[in-house]
Amino acid sequence: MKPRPWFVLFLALPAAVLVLAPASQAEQKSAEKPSLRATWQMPPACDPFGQPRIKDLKEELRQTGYRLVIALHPDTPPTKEGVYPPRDLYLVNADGSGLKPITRTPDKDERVPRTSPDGKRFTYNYGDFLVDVKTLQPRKADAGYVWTPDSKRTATCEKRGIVCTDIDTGDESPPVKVPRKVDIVDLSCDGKWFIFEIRDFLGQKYTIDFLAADGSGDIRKMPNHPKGGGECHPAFSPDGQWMCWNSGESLSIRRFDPLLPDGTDGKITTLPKEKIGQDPCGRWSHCGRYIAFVRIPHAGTWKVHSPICIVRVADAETITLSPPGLVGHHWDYDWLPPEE
Amino acid sequence: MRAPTGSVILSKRSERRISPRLLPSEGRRPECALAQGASHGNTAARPHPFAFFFPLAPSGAFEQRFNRPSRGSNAKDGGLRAFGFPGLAPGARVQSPLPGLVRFRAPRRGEACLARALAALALVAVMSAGCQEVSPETAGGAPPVVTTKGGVAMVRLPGGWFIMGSAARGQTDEPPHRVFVSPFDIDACEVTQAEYEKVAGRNPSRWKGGANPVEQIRWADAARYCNARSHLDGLRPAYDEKTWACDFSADGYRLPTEAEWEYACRAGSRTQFCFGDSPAALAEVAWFKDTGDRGPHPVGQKRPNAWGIFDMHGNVWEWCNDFYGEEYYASSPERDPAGPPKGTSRVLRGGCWNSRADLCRSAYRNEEDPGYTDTCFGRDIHGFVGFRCVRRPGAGHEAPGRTQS
Repeated sequence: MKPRPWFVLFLALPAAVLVLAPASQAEQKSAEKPSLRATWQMPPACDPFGQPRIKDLKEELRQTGYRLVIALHPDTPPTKEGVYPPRDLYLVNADGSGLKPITRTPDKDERVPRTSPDGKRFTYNYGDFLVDVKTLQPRKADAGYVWTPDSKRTATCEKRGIVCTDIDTGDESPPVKVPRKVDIVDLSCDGKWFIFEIRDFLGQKYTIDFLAADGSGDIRKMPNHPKGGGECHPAFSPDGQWMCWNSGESLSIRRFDPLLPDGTDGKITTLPKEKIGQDPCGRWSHCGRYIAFVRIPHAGTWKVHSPICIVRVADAETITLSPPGLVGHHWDYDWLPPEE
Repeated sequence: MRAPTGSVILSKRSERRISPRLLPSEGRRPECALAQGASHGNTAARPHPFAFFFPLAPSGAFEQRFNRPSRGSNAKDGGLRAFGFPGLAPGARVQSPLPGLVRFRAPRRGEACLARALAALALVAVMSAGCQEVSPETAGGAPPVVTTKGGVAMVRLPGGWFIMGSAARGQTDEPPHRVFVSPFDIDACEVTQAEYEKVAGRNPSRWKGGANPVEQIRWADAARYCNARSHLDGLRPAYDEKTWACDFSADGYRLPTEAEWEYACRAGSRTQFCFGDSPAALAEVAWFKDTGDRGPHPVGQKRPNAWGIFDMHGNVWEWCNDFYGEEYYASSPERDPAGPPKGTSRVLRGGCWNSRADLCRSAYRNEEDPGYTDTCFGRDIHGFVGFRCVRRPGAGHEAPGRTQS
């Protein structure tokens, strides 16, 4: 009996679909670009000068899913004494969308959020409070704001030396004696080096210095930016291989290598000042490709609305998040992982 | 009669062991011990803060404080004389064969009577010798307030002995010790922005307000202000503006020494704060973190201490003249200590509006780079550091004194 053509077609079509579909899916997959979604891997690996993946920085940031926690003064004028109303904390997507309040305390000032290395928690008010990133519920912490690599403790330099405080139990480590009291602002991801700034030190008005976390050795000064000016607010990249700092009229980046005499190889990348503005204090994204900062116009003042911006290090492309209100330019912002 | 070293003799029938506490705690009323002795092997070689030296005995350092039944010390010869304390018969000798173990021997009745008489004599001698801690009570009430030529109210403090430092847990740089400070005048309030601007011609403060304390002040700015104020009041400036050396013999204004600051703050108290030990009550006299406000407040709004001085706790940290030395108390002179001869940081005292209660303690020592102005890192929230001035008493042509109520 000769099979009818429609019956053959009836059998052949599903078979063809079954055979061809996986192949086309594979083709489609190979043609698809890799996901840009940030993974917040530990230990971190940073590639500050990695080529842009999408020309449009806003779109690239949208695809990463990164978020930021920022402290905002309400968009109201200051008092006649120049005092702005207290800040509240907000969550915002890195592309500027989705502004959402975290705190609603108009009579209290919330400021200087600092994300733990694993991205699961952040402190604010210099470690006075702790927030779980999932629940966004704050609680008292009485810690510092420089996290240790294990994301369990914070380090502060007191007159007794450097003390690490367990953020959950409040237990303090024995103090590590240091040559002098310093205001540590960051700790390398291997937990071995503190970085900070000292005024009027070693004959310089401003210096960026580093010190072994075990207190051994002297305080070591990093070379100032050749143009001089700022030299403050140093921040390690999450992998501890790079640092950015406010070099006065712009944001500068260099390698951090404590094995070298100056702690760096001498090469400095200074981002274009017309894009960055004056006194930028940078916070690195977890992948090291982006740095958040507040752009203050040159010869301007931070006491006016200065927008929070993100710069892509590789090509100095910037976007402005520009939420309403005033963002303090001294690290009133930090990165958070994408929402799960 | 001397007990052999290492013997345990309290009475012919019994023995008692006493646990010594090596350091006194704050929060106790002053208690005197009439004793003499030498350094114990496990304590630092410095006079015990609670010691009042028995004038009939050879000089020596009183080293240990005992919980019960009395207070005593080890003498150079291995013994100790203690008089008139409950639980320990007068004239008893104390042996300290081992650190942490002190043994008493009860004397005979005749010895006890003699010792009590000597104790009474000694007490009179000590009081008359002036080796007494000074407080507003012992000084005969609140000290006079004088108004300087420039119109600033200063409290005229009598000189005297006090216990500087504390045995606060975790603090290694403030061991208690006896200090004498000479009389001085001290600003009743922190230098205000209006006062600073009048003298220095500018106001660097973050938190503007004429009656607010001036802040964001470098140590040298404060010293320079002292000199300028001295000039205006016709006094000899205390600071050499090239070296910043302080001439303590000058009659002009200067920053208080750390000892002067603490003496002025304590006002005769031995407690954590000038009024007592409770951080909960600190809000009555201080602007600090728990009062929950942003920034400093106009000076003189809280209750003053017993000397009549305002805002010694909280509001803004106050620069002192001294370099900071962690070990300094171990070797500082007993009279008018003026800090180490050199150092990298200067002392700040009193805590500020953003400080926890424990940083506002009378004895708490902070240190900071003298170039610190808190104008960069976090300048949008800071405004922590100010100062007040002191001068030799009777300097200048102040308005007639009045007694502060």
